[in-house]
Amino acid sequence: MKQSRRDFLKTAGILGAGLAGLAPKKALAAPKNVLSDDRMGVLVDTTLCIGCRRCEYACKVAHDLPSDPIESYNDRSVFAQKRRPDPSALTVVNEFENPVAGRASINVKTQCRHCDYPACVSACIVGAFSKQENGAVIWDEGKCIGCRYCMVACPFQVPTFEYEKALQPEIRKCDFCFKRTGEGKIPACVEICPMEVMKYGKRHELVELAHQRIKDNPGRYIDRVYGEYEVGGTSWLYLASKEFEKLDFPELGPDPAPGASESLQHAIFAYFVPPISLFALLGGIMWISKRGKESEEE
Amino acid sequence: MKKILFILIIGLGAVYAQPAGEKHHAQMPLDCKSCHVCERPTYEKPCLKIMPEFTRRRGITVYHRAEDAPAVMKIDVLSNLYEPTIFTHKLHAEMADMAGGCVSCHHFNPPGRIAPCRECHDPNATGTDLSKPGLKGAYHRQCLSCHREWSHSNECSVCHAVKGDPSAATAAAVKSAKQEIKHPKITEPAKLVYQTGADEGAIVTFYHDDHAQRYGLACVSCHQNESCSRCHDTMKETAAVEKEPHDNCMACHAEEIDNRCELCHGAREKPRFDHELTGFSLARFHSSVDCKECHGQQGRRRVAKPDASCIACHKGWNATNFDHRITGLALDENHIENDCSDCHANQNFNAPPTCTDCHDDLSYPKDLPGRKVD
Repeated sequence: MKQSRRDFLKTAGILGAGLAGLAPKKALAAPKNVLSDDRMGVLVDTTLCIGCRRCEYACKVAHDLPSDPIESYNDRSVFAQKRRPDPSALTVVNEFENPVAGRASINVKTQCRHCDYPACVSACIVGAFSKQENGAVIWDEGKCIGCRYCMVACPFQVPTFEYEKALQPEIRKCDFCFKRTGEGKIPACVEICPMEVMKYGKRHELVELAHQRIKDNPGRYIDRVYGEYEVGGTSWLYLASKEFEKLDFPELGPDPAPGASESLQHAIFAYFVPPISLFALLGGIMWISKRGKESEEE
Repeated sequence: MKKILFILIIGLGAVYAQPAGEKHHAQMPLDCKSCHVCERPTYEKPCLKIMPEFTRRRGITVYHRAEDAPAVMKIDVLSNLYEPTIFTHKLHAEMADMAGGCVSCHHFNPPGRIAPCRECHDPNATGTDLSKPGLKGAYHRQCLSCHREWSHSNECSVCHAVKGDPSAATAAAVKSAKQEIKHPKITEPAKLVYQTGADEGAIVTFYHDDHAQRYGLACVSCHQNESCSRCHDTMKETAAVEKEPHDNCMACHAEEIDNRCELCHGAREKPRFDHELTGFSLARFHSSVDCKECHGQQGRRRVAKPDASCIACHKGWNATNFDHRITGLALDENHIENDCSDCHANQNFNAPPTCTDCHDDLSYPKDLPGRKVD
């Protein structure tokens, strides 16, 4: 069957209009986000952390990643550089100078914050990331196509990629010990910590606990719970003795991180109108120019 | 029948009523929230806090002295993995005097036996109790918050020796416990000269030895929240500067802090306090007299000016039993019979004696009523 360009455009136009009519009132490109009231979280009290890095060890063991013997973690020379999580270490501890002269340095554990409105979930074009009911943000390596949009989207620069692997490289990040918590255990890092720096519990109870600690020890903490409101709230919450920005925490507003990128993405595809208009415009230009050529030939 | 019922009701009422004079604690001036978590506590569900904050400091009812503390504690919770940890308890109790005291570990100490840590801090904690750390966390927080500050190390082996191989640290702890080793006497500075930021009189001189020895201030009256690392820190060169320098002096010198800056602040170092300047020399007879003997003890308040006349303290002295030679002047035979007030008008022994009552042409000290002796 021979279909003229005019016929194709007509069909496309009718189809587009029909689809636009069928489309729901609000664009639902945003993934389903189940925020259970009882979702879990972790409160990290950085004023207690001594930088023993036992959490790094426990994390590797719990995730079947190769690890040096536990004694090797006593080596504090690693603190010379600020480290980020990488495919072989899903959590790392960094060290910062204490502003109070003569007091011990400040150690901060970092890993995925498990946002309530995760940018990685929103950015993932194949739906490999998902926010679970217990608060964990996990990913499905079977679905992942390795586009690394999640790495760009994450406001905390957490997801990491196995660059050195040529075949089937994986995206890796802290999964909030999804498997362990499913078995009724607590996250491996929380369990091993000798100082009980971390508390694992319901997020709303942890927020309360954090504010109680600030109230009881106003001299010990600055009056802010990092993660309570940042990017719409995160499952991991932090207490600190000095400004979070000085501990390499990014300065983030209360709006969920996916907000900007999502609205832009969604605007481009809203009701299919912009793409159809674009194609209609291009088609129109082509049609006009072709007709001009045809009339010249005639 | 009615009468019996009435008596019964009255009787029951009396049994169930609160004893007279004893208020229900809800009527006491207490904040319910100090002990109860929920809005409406009931007897069935009192929703009590595990350890109310006020019990940490003010709720302590029993204090013990460091000297009475047990010398060592053997901590063997992990005896399946490690040799027991020997904690030199008395040594730490002594050190804690200047760093928060016993309460920094024993937050809550009701009368009776001393509650062991594990009674509140669960040895088998699963990390889900948000109200308090488990035993592992409680121990490590107490030890490491100081230890890592002065040793800059988190080495587990300092306390945990692998089973069958007691570490040097454990051996040292056992030795110190046997010999009752105490914290070595802290070398105390004679004086401290502070360069302050004050516009006028930037230099403050503090005579530490005078305050500690002469005025009898206990170390802990100023040094309350000292960190061990202030002295025990090889990586640090300078001592931490007091945050609020006036705070320590406030208890005794509140008036001077408000009105007489120049008492401490000056353009150069101040000389040591000299009693001579008050007009009453201590040099000859009173150098070994405790300040309290004359100035009384009024808590930590500054001492009031005492009556400086001799007989204010030496009440029994008179012309017949006082040997005038000890003043450095042996009276001659003409004066030795005199009454004290004949020369010392109004018994004021600080003022120069008057001669004019008897002698028109003589005066002290040009003319002496005797001869000088040593």
